[in-house]
Amino acid sequence: MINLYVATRVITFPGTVLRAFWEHLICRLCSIPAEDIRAFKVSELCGHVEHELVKKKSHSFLICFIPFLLNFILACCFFLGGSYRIAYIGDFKSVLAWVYLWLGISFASNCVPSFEDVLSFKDVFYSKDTKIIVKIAVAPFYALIYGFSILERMGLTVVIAVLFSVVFPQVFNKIFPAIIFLVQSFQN
Amino acid sequence: MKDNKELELSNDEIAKAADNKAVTEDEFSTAIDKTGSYTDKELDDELERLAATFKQEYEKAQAMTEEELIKSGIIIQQFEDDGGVIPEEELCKCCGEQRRDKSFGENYEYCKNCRDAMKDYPFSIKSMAVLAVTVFLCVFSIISFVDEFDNYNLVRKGDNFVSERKLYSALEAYESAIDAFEEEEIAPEKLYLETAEILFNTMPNGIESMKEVAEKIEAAVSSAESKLPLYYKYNNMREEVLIMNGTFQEVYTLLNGEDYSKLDLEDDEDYKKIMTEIGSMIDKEVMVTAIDGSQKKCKANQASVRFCQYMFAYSVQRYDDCYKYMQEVAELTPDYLWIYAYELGNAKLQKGNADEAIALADSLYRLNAENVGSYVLYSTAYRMTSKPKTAVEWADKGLEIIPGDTELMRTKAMALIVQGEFEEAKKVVDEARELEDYGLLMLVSLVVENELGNKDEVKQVKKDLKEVSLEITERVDDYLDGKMTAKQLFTEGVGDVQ
Repeated sequence: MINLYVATRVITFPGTVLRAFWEHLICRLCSIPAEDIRAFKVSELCGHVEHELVKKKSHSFLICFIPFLLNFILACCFFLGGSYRIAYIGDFKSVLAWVYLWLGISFASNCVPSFEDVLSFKDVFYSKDTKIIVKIAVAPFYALIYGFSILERMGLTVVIAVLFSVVFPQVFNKIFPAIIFLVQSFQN
Repeated sequence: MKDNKELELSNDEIAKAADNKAVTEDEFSTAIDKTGSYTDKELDDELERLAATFKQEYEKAQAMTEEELIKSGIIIQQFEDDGGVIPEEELCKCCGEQRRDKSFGENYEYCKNCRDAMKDYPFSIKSMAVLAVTVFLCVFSIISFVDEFDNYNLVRKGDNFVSERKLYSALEAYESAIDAFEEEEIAPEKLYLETAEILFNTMPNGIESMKEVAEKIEAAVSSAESKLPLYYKYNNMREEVLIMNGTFQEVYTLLNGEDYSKLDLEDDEDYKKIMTEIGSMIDKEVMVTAIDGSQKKCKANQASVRFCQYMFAYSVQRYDDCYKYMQEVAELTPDYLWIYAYELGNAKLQKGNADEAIALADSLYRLNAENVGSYVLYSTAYRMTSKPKTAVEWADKGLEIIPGDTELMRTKAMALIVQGEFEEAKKVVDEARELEDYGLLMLVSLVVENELGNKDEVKQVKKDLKEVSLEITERVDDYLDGKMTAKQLFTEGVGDVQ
């Protein structure tokens, strides 16, 4: 399973490298000692930064959320150029569109924090001294990262990223009217 | 013989021994293993070789630096701090020189200095390079999307129309998007297939639509792709339209031939002759070219043959035959609503089967909310079952979707007449006549003006009919003679002016 996991990280190496980079960035900003920043290692931490256990809630949240958010935004940006051309209108001849699509899938399949970070998140946020309202507020995000981190270990996040790239145009189309409204307001 | 005691060799003796050949490690080990088997001479030789080895190693060690000695394990460096000499297992895992900081846990592996340094671990150049390239490509990806935004918006509108079952509007949106993409030399294959499917299900322009379906599928599917299961549906669609088109062409060629072009369809014998000849086309073969260029012979499309027979029967008002042929078309190709639903619905209405007519209207409406035929059929069915209010509602619903459709306006006017709303009916008919004037509309106008007692207007309409060489139909004549009321005219028999 580790080999499959590492193989998926290698295939989606731009996402892997940048996810490790975002984690490293958060570690530096939050003064969390990082022990090993190499993106590629043949272990469960391939694509992740080895760092000291996080004890503060804010740090734990940032370590899990910021790389997730940034990689997701990058994935969406690349899907705009790739998915629309290939999955939405069926232009299979554009090489650049395929490159954008591959980059989008790379970033989408590398959104999730490491299982260690997810467990650390759980320990920090679901301890006895945490208020119930905070536990409820972070529950959806925790459920999302927990589920996906398990799938990531089986290399399934790549499959999910591919499926997401196919449906992305249908989802993004919902905000077209808002974009048109903003553009028209700007022009006026 | 020297005793087997620990020997102390002087430097001179060592130097002397060095002149002799030094022993290898293996030889040394082998020598140690020997027990009690040495002669004096052998022992002396052994000791000399040992001394040579020691000297060699000693000189080697003297030549090494301290770091090399530590590295090779010859000497072990010890570190000290305030607490004394630091045991190896308590040395920092990172620097290996300072004591681990146990304040972070008993098993913590790093010293304080290394821990502080790890907080500022420098970024790798590889990561920075990947980040730079990513940002660069990301900007271009967004730019390429923004450039095509208007075209994607057209496709999105088309998708919305499809979900609202407004297939003609969807077709228009998709065609505009296709034209825009083609101008930029982008081949939107998925759009070609979607428009082909809509055209196949609606056939708005009859035979022209069939040709368009085939062209669009050929533009989207290559010869190699045509063999993939994913494209079987489109291959079959293309083949069907080509067979239908081929069948219509064969019938057309037959009827334009010398034998049949001069026949009189009003004559029973000639009519039967033509119908038989058209019917025999069912056994004819039509040549079809596949996407990969191969030719194959296919049997003529039976539904198309029956439809041609229906058309000829309708042109001579043989409505019983019309019903028979159209019923057969419906049984042969139940999915081709575009070919039979409206005509069969009207035929069923004339036979008094309003429920079946409404069911056909339902099918047409569910397929395409912009199909005029479904609204006309609904309105007519409810008018003929004495529900004129519902008939007007359906006509209005249709006019909201397809504003200015004169057939719908005519249908609405007929329902208003049945309701007794003659002034309202006149407004509708006059508006329709301004948009498009034709015989059936003029006849409805005649009925309206007659009901309102506008004799001058009645005369004018009769004059308009003469100008376009149209005669007043038998049913309208009967109405004008008082043999039936306006309500009976539009609710009994065929329920129309003709």
